[in-house]
Amino acid sequence: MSEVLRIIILAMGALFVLLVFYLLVTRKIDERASLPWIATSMVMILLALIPSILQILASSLLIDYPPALLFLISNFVIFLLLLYQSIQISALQNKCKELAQNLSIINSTGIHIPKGQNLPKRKALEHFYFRNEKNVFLSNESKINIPF
Amino acid sequence: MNKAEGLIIIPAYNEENNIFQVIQGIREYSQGLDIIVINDGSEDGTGGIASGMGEQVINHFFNIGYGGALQTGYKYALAREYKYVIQFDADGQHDPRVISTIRECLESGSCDIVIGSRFLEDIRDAGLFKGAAIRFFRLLIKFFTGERITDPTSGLQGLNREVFEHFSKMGMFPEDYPDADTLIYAIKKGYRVLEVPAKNIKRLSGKSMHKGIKCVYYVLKMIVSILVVVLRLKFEKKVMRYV
Repeated sequence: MSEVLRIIILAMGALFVLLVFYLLVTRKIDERASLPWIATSMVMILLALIPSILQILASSLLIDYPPALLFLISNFVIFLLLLYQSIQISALQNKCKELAQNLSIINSTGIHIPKGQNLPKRKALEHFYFRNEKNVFLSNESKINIPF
Repeated sequence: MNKAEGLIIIPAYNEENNIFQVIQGIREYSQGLDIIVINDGSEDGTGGIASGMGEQVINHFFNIGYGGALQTGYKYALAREYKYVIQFDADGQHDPRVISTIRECLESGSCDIVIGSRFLEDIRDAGLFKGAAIRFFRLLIKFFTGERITDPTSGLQGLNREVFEHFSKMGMFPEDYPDADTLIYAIKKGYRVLEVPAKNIKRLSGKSMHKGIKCVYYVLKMIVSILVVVLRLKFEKKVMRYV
């Protein structure tokens, strides 16, 4: 890797970290969502500082052209991040539907849905709770909603 | 408090040409039952016509989907403590005379879910594509549950309190098309399903929600949903052993 390319990658990584922190400070992204992006930019910086890591990894995987490994890893990371975004969108859509339904009932009939009526049974919640404890990608909000 | 034990849920989306006749038909054969129209973000006068006829209407702020509208009805029924619900489509394709049969089955406690089946005797009326899809879903239901359900896509259904309470919870009911997947889930959960014959009436006016490319999407989505339901039930059983 040439010196110029290393400097460019280093600068891109640093800029990316700064951008994520700017978004965090201006409350346009929350801490949990920022972690994968900070990690990605840290990897960029690390590879620019120690390019031999990529060469060692590539040769151990019998890849002749080390940048190909970089593309492979970055594609995989992007896929993971997209999947994570889809999970978030699905969760938000579910919450949005639930709010719209309850608000429509209140607005049209004046009936207030009792607290906890919309939530699945305790057993199901326990499953979600234990799973959330292990899985950092799932939202913390669902923990707050648990009525026990 | 409620005077009626049961509630008829009518999910409606842009059905201003049908809703009047549908409500009139239901009123004739559903004495002693309450009616609720879930106006699922209609852009026409559906909600206005229904409320003008003196029926209770819940207006969604935007179009959530057929399943979402039904779920709103379940939530309302649960809050008002109804013992059972009968869901009836607003397109005028259901025969309101079947309501009394469904009602009798639910009140007797002999079953948890009653389906008004259009194809209990003959499936030829369904048309080529729809008939093939229904046959396919029948096979899947038979394969996964061992039960014979002749009309898994029927919108005319009755559910007792235990079932609609279960489906009213967040994330427990699909917001678009609750059909074969929901039935497989219910049967696997141990709910008793019964089919009663229901004549299919030609749609009064308007377009079906399963038209054109949506049909393909519907079938693909349903296959995925069925697989997910089966896997989810297996996963739930495994987790229950360890909790």
